[in-house]
Amino acid sequence: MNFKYYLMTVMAAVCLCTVLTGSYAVAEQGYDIKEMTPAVKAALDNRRARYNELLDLKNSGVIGENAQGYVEVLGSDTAKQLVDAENKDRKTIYTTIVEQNNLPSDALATVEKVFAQVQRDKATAGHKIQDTDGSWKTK
Amino acid sequence: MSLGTCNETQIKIRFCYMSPDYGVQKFIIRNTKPQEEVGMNRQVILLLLFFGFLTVLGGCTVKAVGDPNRPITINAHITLDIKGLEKTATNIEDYVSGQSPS
Repeated sequence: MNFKYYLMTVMAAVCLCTVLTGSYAVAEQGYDIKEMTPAVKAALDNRRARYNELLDLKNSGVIGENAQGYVEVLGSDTAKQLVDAENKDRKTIYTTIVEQNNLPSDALATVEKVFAQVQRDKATAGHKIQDTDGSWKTK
Repeated sequence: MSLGTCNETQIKIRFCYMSPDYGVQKFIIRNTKPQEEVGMNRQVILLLLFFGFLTVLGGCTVKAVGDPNRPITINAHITLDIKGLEKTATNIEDYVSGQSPS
């Protein structure tokens, strides 16, 4: 009798682990760029190449990070071309994450907001950032 | 007289009282332990079925079969793993800023 209770307990534990492991795997699947397409690679390389230039503009307060995950011109329009190129590459990366992870199209807004949050977190003192309520502030 | 769950001690006591009729004693012994075993087996089977059902439910694929001219629309609510997304975003931004190799 004790052996049967033991057997039942073990079986219950194994089944529970199986179910929980399956759920955990689904919950923790993560979202990644699963396939480095030429477009994504170019977007990442371009962003990396213009990073220091954008950093200078952020330091001088000409541009800031908005709440939608993109850079925005706040002062002189001279940086517009650079900002547009940066935003185009960011959009490529965001849409790739949505597409390659089979997320619904409305998930793009969430992806943008999460990237915006990361940009706010990474912003250094003096950088202009837009809060979720739409207000701009200097970090 | 139901002896469904009597233990060995109880059986021995009854054996003393019922020793003149050994047939009754045999009946008691035969019908006590097998009943427990049958009950246990039933529990094991039910438990197996239950957890089998849970396992299937945890990893099943649902297929809708119906009239192709009347497509079924299923509104699914997909919850994004924000933490996972934050990790991905941080990795990408680290790469862009040159803080991580790839």
